[in-house]
Amino acid sequence: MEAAAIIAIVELVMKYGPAAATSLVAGLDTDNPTPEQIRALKVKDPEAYFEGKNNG
Amino acid sequence: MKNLKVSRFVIYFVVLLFTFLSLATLMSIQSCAYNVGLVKTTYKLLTVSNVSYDTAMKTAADLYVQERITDEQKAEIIKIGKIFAAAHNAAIESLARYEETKAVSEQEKMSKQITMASGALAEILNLIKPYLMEEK
Repeated sequence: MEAAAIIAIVELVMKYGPAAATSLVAGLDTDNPTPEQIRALKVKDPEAYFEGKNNG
Repeated sequence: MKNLKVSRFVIYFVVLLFTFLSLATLMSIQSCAYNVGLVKTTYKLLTVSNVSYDTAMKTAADLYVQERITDEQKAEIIKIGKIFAAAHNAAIESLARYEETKAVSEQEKMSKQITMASGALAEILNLIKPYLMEEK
């Protein structure tokens, strides 16, 4: 991943604050993840983020 | 206090870079045995990947509501987001199965899916980055 993308991630995480930071720190502090913890990292479909949101 | 938090993020993202490089190295070794270090490293990498995608998509949705991105740009972000989500979730499933079964055949699948997900995530971030610069 290029450096500019990493900088963009830092900016976004700082903007969106506590929720993102908490899950990030919790994940980075886990040393022996169980299969359940691993599967909990699955992401939702991109369309779900735009549901109910209108442009204009 | 705020500076401390910022420093912590910087440290974590240096760790991310290190983790990414370590993972690439570990994957290239083509180990023939179950590797607990690989599980730990890949889990951390996928955690960062999960948070990055979630934050990027929330940002894209906000930009859409603010009419700063068009329907076409939204469609492009969704298209790449689907590629990321499929690859990321497949890598997650491979890692979980690797942890459960210790089958080394999952390693190669994981490597391919992570590479694909990483490329898609960088594309999403590149699409929304110009709008973040506007806010400064």
